[in-house]
Amino acid sequence: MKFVVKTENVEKTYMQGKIPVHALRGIDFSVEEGEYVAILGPSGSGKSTLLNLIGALDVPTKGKVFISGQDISELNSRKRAELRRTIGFVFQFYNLIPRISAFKNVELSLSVKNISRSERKKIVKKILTDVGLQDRMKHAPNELSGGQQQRVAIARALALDPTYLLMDEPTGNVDTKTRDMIMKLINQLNKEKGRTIIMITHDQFIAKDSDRIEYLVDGKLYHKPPKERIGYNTNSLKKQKLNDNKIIASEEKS
Amino acid sequence: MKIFDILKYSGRSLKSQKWRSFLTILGVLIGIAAIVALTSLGNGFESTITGQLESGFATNTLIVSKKSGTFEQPDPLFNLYYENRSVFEGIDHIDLAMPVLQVTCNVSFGDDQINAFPVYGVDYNNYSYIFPSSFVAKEGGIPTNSSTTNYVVGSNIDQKVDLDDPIEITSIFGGVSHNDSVVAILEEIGGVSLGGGPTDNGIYLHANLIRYKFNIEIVSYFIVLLDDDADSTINSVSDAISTAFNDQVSVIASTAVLDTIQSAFGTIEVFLGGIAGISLIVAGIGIMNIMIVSLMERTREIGIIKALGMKNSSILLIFLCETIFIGLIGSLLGIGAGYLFASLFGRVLSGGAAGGGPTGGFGGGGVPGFGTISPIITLDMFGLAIFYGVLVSVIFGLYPAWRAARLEPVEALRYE
Ligand SMILES: Nc1ncnc2c1ncn2[C@@H]1O[C@H](COP(=O)(O)OP(=O)(O)OP(=O)(O)O)[C@@H](O)[C@H]1O
Ligand SMILES: [Mg+2]
Repeated sequence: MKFVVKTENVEKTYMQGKIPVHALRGIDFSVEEGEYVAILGPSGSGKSTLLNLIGALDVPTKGKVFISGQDISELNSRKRAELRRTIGFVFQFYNLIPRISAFKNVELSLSVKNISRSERKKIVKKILTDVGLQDRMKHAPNELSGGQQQRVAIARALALDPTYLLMDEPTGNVDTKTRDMIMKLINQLNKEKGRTIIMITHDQFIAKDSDRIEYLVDGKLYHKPPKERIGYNTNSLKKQKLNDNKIIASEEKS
Repeated sequence: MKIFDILKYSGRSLKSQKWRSFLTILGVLIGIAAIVALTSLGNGFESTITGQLESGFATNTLIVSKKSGTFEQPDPLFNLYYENRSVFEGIDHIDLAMPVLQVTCNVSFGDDQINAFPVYGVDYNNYSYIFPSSFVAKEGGIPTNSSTTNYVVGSNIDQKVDLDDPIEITSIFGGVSHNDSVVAILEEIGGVSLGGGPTDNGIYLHANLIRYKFNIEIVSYFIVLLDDDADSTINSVSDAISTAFNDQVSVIASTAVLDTIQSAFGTIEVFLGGIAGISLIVAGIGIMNIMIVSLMERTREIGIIKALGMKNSSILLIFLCETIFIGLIGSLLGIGAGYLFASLFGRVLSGGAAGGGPTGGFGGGGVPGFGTISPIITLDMFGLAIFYGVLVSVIFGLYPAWRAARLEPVEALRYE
């Protein structure tokens, strides 16, 4: 069994002034190559905090985070930056750089990796075509729809050919039509391209295609939905799954 | 990230805020332009002045005059006399020692008169020997016989008299008169008298005439011609002369006068440059200000590129490159603007002087006309201007760049 990322009894405590905020309280979590894992939890449960740790953006207060076998607490900031080049981030608010085109946004992650210009051009074209944006490459983010922007963000993450993709509420900011299209894209990336995906959401529906769902409540991780605590409605989930394919089919045509 | 990509990234972010970048560059431009304008004008002015001084200038001369000491009290009874010529004969490296006499007179040129004007007594032959390029007649001829009673006059005096016209002088002390004609008018020298050389405002008679007719034996100064102009020779001869006259004389090398003037100009230039430098520092503060604003606006962006795996050092470079661009463009444009301004200003200055007619009049050697002042910009200055422009932008850009590089990725991404 090969873990791309693994945490051991991870705790993260923030200090808000003098008051400690225990955002994570002992998380044991691991993801294997090729898995599609969803982490579900309500607002403030520590989802982004966990994502920052398994994305090597931050280090835990206690416990260990291993990324590709390396303990990130033992790496200096330079080494951690290098490690991040093997991880694809997709954020809730797209986080594109507004003043440069879609093409350049995607290209940026490749320049960071010191990839040659000609090579970059080829990769960016291919990836933007893969996400269906071949005729939107020269547009600036503010000339793109929310769904298109999020696809650019996904393309940017994919350009690095990452070991795994981290997605923080990738559909949090779009309408349902766009949401379904992005969900389909994510599902394809996992099922067809074999991408390892860790997705964070507070919406059970978004997680429906995943291989495994972990539930994060109050800084602790559960394998089963702690129904009595937060009352997830699993019935609505099943209904939506049935309609899913139709929605995507109609979206593709438009 | 490769340096080329860093440069492109920096350039793009400057371009995305055109007005802001332009105004920041303008700050540097003004600072550099002020420095370049002031120093190039100063250089031009200095070279005009020293150029004028150097025409009719001999580097291997000393002026020996009675000491007018302020620190040590000179002997009040001491004077230099014509026959003191012999004192110089025993000193090595002295080619010639020529006494210069002076008598203050009221001078009349037919209708026109100048009062209390110095008339010099020199040995015409020796004077042209020491100043072969400036004691030269443009009209008439300088007499070679030592009993001549005719005048030789500088080119400015030409405006009062023509060749062969008479001049009558009457000494203020003693009331002795002399009346004779002008036998030679000197070529225009264009400068002020330095090192005892002839001037455009000079009226000259033969030393013998001043001695015998006006009964003057006291010498204003000796012009000593050396057989070489090495500093060591100048120093040793100066010492020997001082000793020979019991330290009652001051010996000034003409090169020393020029050096003093040049170092005075140097000081003025440094002073002006310093004032202009302040505007460059203000520009630097402007850069820092704008980069801090830019840092705040781009905090989230910094978070994003850090999440993409960009190293702190690359982010530092991106910010520094932006300020270096500003400094470089600002200083290049500033050099051009400064030079342009200096040229215009130099033209106004010299135009004004030329319009003022013959300058200085005849009272005690007036200010010479400026001629034209063209600003001088050397390759050094060009390099230094760019160096300072970039240096200031790096210094003031370093702090914002360092802060950008140090941002915690998580904090930066949370920043609204
Ligand atoms: N930098 C920080 N400083 C102080 N407290 C923080 C910081 N980041 C997060 N927290 C706190 O830690 C807890 C978990 O935050 P986190 O952002 O991980 O939640 P989340 O599950 O991502 O929520 P949401 O769904 O709203 O994004 C919250 O109580 C939050 O206030
Ligand atoms: Mg969150």
